Formats: sequence, C-alpha cells, structure tokens
Amino acid sequence: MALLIVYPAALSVFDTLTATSADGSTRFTLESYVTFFQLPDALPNLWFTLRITVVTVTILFALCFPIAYYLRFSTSQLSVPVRFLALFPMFVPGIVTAFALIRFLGDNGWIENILFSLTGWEGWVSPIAKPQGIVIGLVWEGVPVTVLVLTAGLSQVPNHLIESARDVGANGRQVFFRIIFPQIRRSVMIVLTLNFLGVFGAFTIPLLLGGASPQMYGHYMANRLYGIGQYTHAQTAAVIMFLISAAVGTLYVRSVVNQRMEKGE
Amino acid sequence: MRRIYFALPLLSVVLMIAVSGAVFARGASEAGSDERTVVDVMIASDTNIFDWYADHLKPLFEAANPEYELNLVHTGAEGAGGNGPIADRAYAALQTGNDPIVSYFETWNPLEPIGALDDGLWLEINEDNVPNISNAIDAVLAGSTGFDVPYRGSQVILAYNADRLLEILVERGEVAAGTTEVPEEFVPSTFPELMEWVQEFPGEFTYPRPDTTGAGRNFVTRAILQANDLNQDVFTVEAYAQRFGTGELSREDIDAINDEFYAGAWEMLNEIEPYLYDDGAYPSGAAAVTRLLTDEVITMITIWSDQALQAKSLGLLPPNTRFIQLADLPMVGGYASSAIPTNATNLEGALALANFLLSSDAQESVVRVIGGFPAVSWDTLPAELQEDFNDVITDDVPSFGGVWIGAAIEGWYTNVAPEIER
Amino acid sequence: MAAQAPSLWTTFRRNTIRSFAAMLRQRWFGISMLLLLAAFILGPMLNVLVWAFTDARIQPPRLVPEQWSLKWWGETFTRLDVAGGFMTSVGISLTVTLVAALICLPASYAFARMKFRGRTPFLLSFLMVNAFPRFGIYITIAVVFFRLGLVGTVPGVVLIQLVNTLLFMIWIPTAAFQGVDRSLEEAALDAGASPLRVFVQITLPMVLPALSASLLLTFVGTFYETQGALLIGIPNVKTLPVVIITLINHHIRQLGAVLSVALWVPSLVLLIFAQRVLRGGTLAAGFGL
Repeated sequence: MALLIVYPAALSVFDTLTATSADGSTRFTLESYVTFFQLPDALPNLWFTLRITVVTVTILFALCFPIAYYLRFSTSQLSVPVRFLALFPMFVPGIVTAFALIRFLGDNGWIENILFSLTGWEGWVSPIAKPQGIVIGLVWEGVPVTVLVLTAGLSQVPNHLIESARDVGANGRQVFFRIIFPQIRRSVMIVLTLNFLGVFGAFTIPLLLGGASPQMYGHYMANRLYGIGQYTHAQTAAVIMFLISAAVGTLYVRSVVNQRMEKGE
Repeated sequence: MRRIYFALPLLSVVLMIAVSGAVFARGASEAGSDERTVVDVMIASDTNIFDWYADHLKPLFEAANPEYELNLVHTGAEGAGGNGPIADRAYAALQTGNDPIVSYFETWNPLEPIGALDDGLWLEINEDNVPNISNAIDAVLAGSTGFDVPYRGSQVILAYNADRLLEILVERGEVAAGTTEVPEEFVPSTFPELMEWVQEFPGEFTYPRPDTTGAGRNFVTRAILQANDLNQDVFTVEAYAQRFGTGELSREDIDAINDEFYAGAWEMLNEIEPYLYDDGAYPSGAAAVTRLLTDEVITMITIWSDQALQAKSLGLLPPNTRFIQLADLPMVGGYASSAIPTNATNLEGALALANFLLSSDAQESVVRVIGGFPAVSWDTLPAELQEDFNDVITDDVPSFGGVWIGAAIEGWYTNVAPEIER
Repeated sequence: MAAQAPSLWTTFRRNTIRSFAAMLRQRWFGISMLLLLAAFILGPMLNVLVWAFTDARIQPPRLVPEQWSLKWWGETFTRLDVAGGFMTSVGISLTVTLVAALICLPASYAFARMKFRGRTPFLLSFLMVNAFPRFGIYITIAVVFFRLGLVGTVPGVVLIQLVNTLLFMIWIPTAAFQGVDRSLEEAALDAGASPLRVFVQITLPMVLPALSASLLLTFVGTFYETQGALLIGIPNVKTLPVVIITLINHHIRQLGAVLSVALWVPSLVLLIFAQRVLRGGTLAAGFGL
C-alpha cells in the first residue's frame, strides 16, 4: 500500500535529479537544485521555516508537558475540564482556527478591545500577518496531539515504581529524573518528531496567519506551483522538505533502536 | 468496570461496519438513479462565484437544458491550489486513457499543467463547438489562448468607510466638525489619485496578496497597466505565446518580463508600501481583507464588486460604506476563462454549458448578479439592461491575458513583498 | 470518577504534612492551568460562537452584537448538502480507522517486539508516505489510482486517507509497546499465565492509553482531511470538508461560524466518548500492579 505514495514520491525525486538532453537521453544532474537555490527567496524561506518549526515545537512541549503531567497525576475534578480544553482544538478545522485567531488577536480584536476597556492600554500589537501569528496558530493546533501522546506515555509509568521509590526516600526531583523521565523518553521523542513534521509541512495556518514574505515551505511550494506555475521548483522544494523530514525521522527511529540495544535485548 | 474495555471497542467496531456499509450502499444507489446526465463543474474562484452558480446559473441552465444536471464542486480557496489537483488528475486520466470523471473547469489557464496543452488535454474552442463564442468582443478574445472560454470580466472596486474618513478629516481640521459628506477632493477617482490618497492617509489602505484573491490580483494588474501607460496591447496571449511559448517559464524569462513590463509597477507599489496598513502586512484572501474594513481597522480596501454589494445589503459592512471604481481605467484583471478537457466525461454537456455561459441570459446575469463586465457586446444584451447599467457601460474594459499573471505574482513576491524588518 | 484512581494523591496522604502542601500545589496549579487554557483555547472559540448568532455586524469596540439572530443557521443548512457530507465523512472515517487499526496494531506490535532486518527502513517508509508533500506528485498519484479504477469511489478515498494515517497508527503504538516493562510480562509467564492472558491482562492495559490516543487522532484527522478526499473523491464522493469548504471560506463570516459551531456538537460527543476510553486506560495502568 505504501507503494501508492512511495512510488510517486520516488519518481518525483528521480525527476529532480535528471534532465533530458537535446538528443533525448536522460542524464543525472543537480541542475534543478542549483537553479532552485538561486531563487532569491528559496534559502531565506528555508531558514525561516526551520526557525518557526523549532520555536513552535519548543513552545508546544513547554506548554503541554505540565498539562500532561498534571492530567496523569492529578485526581482533582479539575483535570476533566483541563483535558477537555486541551483536546478541543483537534475538532476545529484549520481555516476556522485561523479566522477565529484573527478576530481574537488582530487589530480591533477581542484581546485589544478587552485590554483597552479594562486598562485603557492602547499598545496592543497585532501578531497577524507576522511570524508570531504563525507560531500562535500552530501552537493552538498542536496542543491536542502533544497532550494526548505525552499523557499516554506518562500513564505507562507504573504507580508502584514511583511509590517504591518514595518508600526508599526519593524526593520529587529524583522521582522525576530517575523514574519517570527514563520511562517517557520515547513519548517525548515521538511527540517532538511528530510535531516537527506537522509544523514543518504546515500550510493553512502559515497561509492565513503569516506574512506575505518570508513564507513557510508548505505555503511557498503551493505558491510556486499554483500561483506561478513552476512545477520543477515546486517538485524540488517538495524533495528538500522531504529530505529534512526524513533526517528528523531517522534520528527518531535510530534513537529508538539504540535504546533497545543499550538494554541489551 | 473491567468489561467496558472490551465492550467499547466491540461496540465501535459494530458501529463502523454498519455505517461504512450504509455509505457504500448510498454511493452505489446514487449512481444512475437520474435520467439526466451530470456535468461536473469544478469551481475554484472566490465564494461569490460559487454562490452565483448555485443560486442563479444552475437553475437557469437546467431549465434551458433539461437533459443536463450540473454537479457543482468548490475545490477550495484561491491560493490553496483550487482546481490544480483536479486538472492534474484529468491530465493523468488522459495519459492512462481513463475517464477523468470531470467535465468543466470554471476558471482555468490551459497552459497548465505544463505539457498538457501540447498533449491535447484542452479542447480548442471555435464556432463549431461553442457557437456563441462568435458573440465575444475583441478585447475578450485577445486574452484567450483559443483553448478556453472567456466569459466574465469580474470587477474589483474600492470600498471605503465614509464615517471613518470624515472623522480623520475632522480631526485634522481639513473639514469642519458636523460635515456629513466627504468632500470630493478626498476621494480618489483615478489610479494616480489613489496612490496619493494612500500616502496622505497612512495605515488606512491595503490590498491582499495577488495569488490569494482577485481583489489583490486585479489591483496589481491595474498597477502594471498603469506603469505601461494603460497600453493593453502589450498583455495579449498572442504576444506572450510568440515570445515565451506554452512551456514552464525559465528564470531568465521571468526576469525579462519583470524588467521589461513590471518594474514600473513594483516601483509604484513599493513606494506606497510604508503607507499601507501595518507597514505592508498584506492580508491573505478576500475574507481577511474585508475583515479590516468591517472591524473598522482601516478606511479603504479593494473588494469584489458583488461581494461588496451583497455584504452591504446584509448590513455586514460599516453603515456608511461607499464604493468607487477608478474612472481612468477600472480594476479588471482580464476575463475569467473556463476550460474543457478533451476527454471530458460529459463533453456534450460541457459544451452546452460553455455555450450557455456566453448566451444573452447568462451574460445579463454577469452584469446584474456579480456586477462584472459581459464578454459579449452590449448591443446583443437587452436594452433594459443597458439603461440600468448606463454608468458602468464602457468599451474600455482592460484586457490582461491570464498567462501573464504567473510572472506578475512571482515578481510581486520577490520585489514587493520581502519582509521589512519589524 | 476521580476517587477510583489509586494515584499519587492517596499515596501522598499517607505521608502527612507533605501531602497537604502537595495537594495545595496541585490545586493551585490545576486552576491556573485551567484558566490559561481557557483563555487560549476558548477565547477564539467563543468569538466564533458569538458570530454564529450575530445578525449583521459587531460595531467595534463592542464584543457582542447589538442584535442576535438565528437566521444564518437556516441559511447555512439550506445552502448545501451538509448532512449528506457528514454521513459520508463519518462512514469513511470509521472505515479508515477500523482498517488502520486492523493493519497497524499487529504491525506495530511486531515492530516493537521482533527483530528483523529492514526494521528501520520500514519504519521510515511510513514517514515517507506522510511527510512527502503531495503537491508535487498529484499527477503520479492520480495515474496510479486511475489504473486501479479507484478515482471517484469510496474505496479510493479510504485508501488515500488510510495512507495518511499510517504514521500515527504505527509510530505511537510501536513506542507504546516498546515502553511496556518486559519484566512484568515475564513474571506473569513464570507464574504460569498463558501468553494470550499475559497480553490481554498485562500488556494491553498498559498500552491502551496510547492506542486510544492514536485511534482518536486517526479518526479526527481523517474526518477533517481535505487534500486526498478532493483529489480522489471528486466529484462522486463528497466528504464533509469538501462540501463545506466554500462556507468555511465564505466572505459572510457567519456562515463559516455556524458550521463550525454545528460541528462541535458531534465533536463533543466524540470527545466525551474518548474521555471515557482514555480514563479507562489510565485506570487500567493502575490495575497493572
């Protein structure tokens, strides 16, 4: 089944690496990559995409880890609404998210008007059509996956392990770093990887909440392909995006394999 | 408590099988239940055009051609690919000899996908297969590749919030407090006046990105025409094809086009950029730019004429919103063109639709419902219509070949859009 | 519900004074987290809710309209076949989730437990399926689907959406299976339990939270998937996102707002359902003692 995509993708990689000579024969060449990176915006957009991705993934983790931790260990009734809220963005299509955030955070949006009527403060700066807008939108969208995977990972830590650690006098920090953290390393890795892939390839949010330039790669590629009609460049951009995603994915898979080897299984 | 772990998955499995069975059965029963043959129409324009088809053209067409039924599909917003994937699919079907399961592309540039035109994907339009094409005026045909059906000149206008403008003027002491009408000299009526207006009222105007909506694209093409002394003969399809062919533009071609034809426009647009809303935070799409007007963030925007009229009649715009069209040359980025694949599932139906769109009925609807320009001569339309729209009747509808747009978007993104350090 | 979980909290209580401080800290932490999340998540959604019932426009700086109205609800639902799209989407999403579970869960168990050559490339191939941008390869995908006679059919849409789900459905469960403490299983086996019993009573409860998380993600992700459904399903199979794309994008913002609010109702039902499954999973982990 993977052949349905793997074959077209492989074909497309092949396409970017070859050119047809005047005599009709096919030869290997890196031409399309050379011309692609000669585009004035190809490299700046790539750095921009990577920067946004790293920032978003970091914020997502910093925001969601405490939430997941709380959901796992709290018995308070509050955990029900917290879980509820954390999962809610999953059910909101990207376009609705984008417009809701525009009307919430943008100029003359709710935040600005509430702040103004409460404090008289007029200094609100709209993050819309700026890099900050993309980050906020992508964090909003990414909360459910992050919380779900981290909570699932944390709930795999057996209570009896924590209890016995406490019985022998371990303090909170020791329990966390010696018992809990080693157990959820996999979940943390997987959430970082999945978030990286998701954010790196995002399209709708960067299109609607980001500025006209620089663009994130998902948006940039669509713009090249359908706005300007440059198939070759779009295809090259697709391969570059894939290679970066694959590198991150390899890091993940490798680390999981290595983990098993350390254990000597 | 324990039992629930097994009950839940079991229950959901049963439910899944039941519902998916129902869906498969539904899909099967739908096919072939109707005697009329279906014409699948792919629409990727802004929502106003989809509404127009659903509410006006579909009933009109089906009444006139009872043997056909239109199946309208909105393939997504501009900027997001729209009909692109479906055109790719039709090209794939041509290569494998399959039925593409699509008949009509409401707007399409037949130069895409690259190579498809040469491989015979798009149907050549002539008086034999679409008789009404003979009604089309010269300006329309100049923008056509001959493999498409140009049928509507949509119009983008300026909308401004008169109350807000008055407030600013009163604050500045330009007009006396209590004035109810904006004096004429503060309302732009030509393109150069608009450029001056933008600089006179910093932060009060913006236009959306040209690839995300016609409201941005038509403004940009209008600027290009301005920079070329309003000489429309430059931007015909013929001139383009002679020089650049029908393939993918090379880097050198794009640079050449930009240097030769667009540089003046980029200069103009760069000059006003610092005076645009939020230093040139160009909104993405029609909805995003309209929000700036409705939420009273800025004073003036570019907008589709029909969207503007509809929004105003529903009370969605600020109460004292006014519309203006530039008097020197309207903001029309050429004519929207349909394309029909040669392997269309329902070729007969597609041709009937094309012919219908150029008929007097449909052309009247272009004027009345979407506030656009007809693709046929005004003389062929009802006299009553001519009287009603006397103000907008103009022979000077700019023509701008769709094939020129790609390089314009590329040029805009590399020359105008680059981020200002914030 | 909460009282049933033998968690840290009960353990803490045994430890006298420290438990009180911990509880306070937890409660304070919970409340502030709830407020933060509510502002961040609910704020924009409340905005959408208000718009769904707004007659015309909201005069800034007001936050709510002067006149409320239900008129857009009728307007939205008479416009398009939303109900038909909804049923199609539910059916297809359930099928995709079911098939994905049948294929992926055994596969991920194998990935986690068995060593075989090519495991790494295999795991990575699912990444290729998911991470290769579709834009550039639509023509080739369409060629493959045309050859198989799947364009414009429900099985075709199921297939292309299934391909999308593989990454979530393989990676997350694989990680979960790997995270199971093998010593527990071995102890049970030593005590004479059958392998099936060990799997059902020890392994499964420990991975259930992760499995239900990936099932939920698969279902919802498929439900809202547009690209594949559009490319393969059009024009015979119209899933909900394909039907409503014109309303969500609409220049009359109320239409999109009404539709999203209407979509939340089934989402909330699903969420409550999911909540139960997830909670069950947490409990199960507790039982694994």
